[in-house]
Amino acid sequence: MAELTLQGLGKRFGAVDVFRNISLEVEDGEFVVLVGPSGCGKSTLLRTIAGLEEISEGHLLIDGKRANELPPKTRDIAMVFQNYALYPHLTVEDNMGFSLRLAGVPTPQIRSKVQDVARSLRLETLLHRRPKELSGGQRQRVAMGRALVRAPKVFLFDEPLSNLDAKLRTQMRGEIKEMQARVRTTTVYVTHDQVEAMTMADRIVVMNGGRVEQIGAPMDLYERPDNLFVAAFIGSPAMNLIPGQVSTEGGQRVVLTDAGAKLKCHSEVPALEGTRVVCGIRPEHLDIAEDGIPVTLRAIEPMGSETHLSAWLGELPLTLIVRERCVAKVGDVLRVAPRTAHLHLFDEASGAALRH
Amino acid sequence: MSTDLHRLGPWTRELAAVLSTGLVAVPLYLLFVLSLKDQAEMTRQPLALPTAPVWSNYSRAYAEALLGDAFMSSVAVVLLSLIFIVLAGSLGAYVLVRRGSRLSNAIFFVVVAGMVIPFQLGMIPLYQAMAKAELVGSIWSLVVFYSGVQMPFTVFLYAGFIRAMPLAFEEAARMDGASGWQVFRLVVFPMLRPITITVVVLNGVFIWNDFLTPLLYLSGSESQTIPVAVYAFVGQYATDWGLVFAGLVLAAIPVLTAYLFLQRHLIAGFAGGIKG
Repeated sequence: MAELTLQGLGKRFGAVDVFRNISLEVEDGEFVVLVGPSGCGKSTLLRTIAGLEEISEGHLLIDGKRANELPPKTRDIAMVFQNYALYPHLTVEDNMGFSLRLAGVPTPQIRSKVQDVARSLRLETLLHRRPKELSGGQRQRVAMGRALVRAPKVFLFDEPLSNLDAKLRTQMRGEIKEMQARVRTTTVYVTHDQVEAMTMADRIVVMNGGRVEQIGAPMDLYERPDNLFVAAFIGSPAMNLIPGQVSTEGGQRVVLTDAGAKLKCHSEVPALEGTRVVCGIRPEHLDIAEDGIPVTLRAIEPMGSETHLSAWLGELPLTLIVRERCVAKVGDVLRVAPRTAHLHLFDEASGAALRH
Repeated sequence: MSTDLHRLGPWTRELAAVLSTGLVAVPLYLLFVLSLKDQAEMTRQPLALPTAPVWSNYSRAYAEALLGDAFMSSVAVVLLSLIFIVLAGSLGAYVLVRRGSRLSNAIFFVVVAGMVIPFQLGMIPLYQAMAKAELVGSIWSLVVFYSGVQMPFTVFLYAGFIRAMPLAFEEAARMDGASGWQVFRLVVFPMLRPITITVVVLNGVFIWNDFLTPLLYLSGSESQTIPVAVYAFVGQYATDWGLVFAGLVLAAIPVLTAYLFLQRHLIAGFAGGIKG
């Protein structure tokens, strides 16, 4: 177990900056998820922590000691790769014991450790199989077992669930989280799936274009996004984003949307009259109300415990989530009102959140 | 006009396959049939099956050409050459491919360009160098020769295969604590098994069957290989072809046997190498 500190970390390939000025402190035993769209630099950042890529600028500290120049094998870090990278010519048992054999651990001890970890991951009956004889989920567990056996200071996961089907992904998410909670090893996990990030992380680091957009606990990012990118990226279904202009009517701060609707916002919103803004409202914070703004229903998706409604506000798509059964039909006009307390405002030019 | 095989009907494809097989099978048939005939029958009816098979051609060929000793020489040359070719070729290709620098790319190009240069160009100066090194007459002259001549093709085959291998295996090994050499020895080289079998079979067959180079370097010595030993039956004025063919059949048996066991891997290795 260890603390991991990134201070102004940057990585360049030639003249191209992959990421710059990344600073982050991962506490001992914490599960941090790096999330962002493809090409944002999250995997490269993970690989620089692992030592598979050189660091161009900044400092990497593991347990307070500078690790920039240390080769991967001396950083005491174990990594689970996206395609698992299980050695195809070795059995499951040999795969899991590989690092211990390299370290010169006596064979009986290797066998014992591998058996213990295999038992915890339900792999005992598969030890003599080769990777090609395993299912996707089994390979995933073997990859985790190979990392666990080393009892490293830090776990790194590089999109380990991206090759699995949806159902297996949900199951393995739980298994990874449970494993990490059991061993309490400091973990950095990379994914492009914000649902994975929300469900697994102690803290999430949202990345975009080589920069950190926001760092925080899942619900902090969900309820208080710092900017438009985080607001749109985190949450499923995504936050509704409605552009407009700040105005005042009868002493009440409102946003006149481009679609012609009027949204009431908090009286202390720090934006000048006429400022171009983007209103953000989560689907579950839009209520059907008689005095609401009119929207045209375009699709109804009953999910069982709730119903997702897609509608048009002018030409702008909106999503609402309602708990009760929807009796309206596609094409009907509904009236919806956002809950003012949950209305987010973002400066349209900079994307930054405008908070009172 | 399209020559796409899929456009031909199934019977046409079948006929093409039979004709191709016949093209390959006919020389083998002739080789075996002629090895069981005496000179008279060979002249009278060369293509027909032997009326009274002369099995003694085989025992005579074995005894008179000292095929037992020649067999051991051939095996030694093939084994020693293959060991060096496989080890140096695989390791060299690995370093050149994975380093990825301009220098390594240039070296790779130079090495592979050696494939287009016919070895006959360097035959005489090479012989002179071997003579100076007192290797002529020793099987080591052949080992050195084959290791050099076959290296460009070997490196080419290995490089293609290694390029197609995901880097993640080597990265995982580095994360597990392996040094550069351990990554190659414990992870990469075992994964090169399909292409190694291709390399072994292709180079092994060539070295086993080669006639000119052993004739140059081992003629008259006690270490003659099988092709040179069989050539002893070819006289200036008369040739006992029955013994020649019997010797050739005996020489082909080990190669054919090895191929029968390894053909699946040979095809897999070739496909993987070309894909890379």
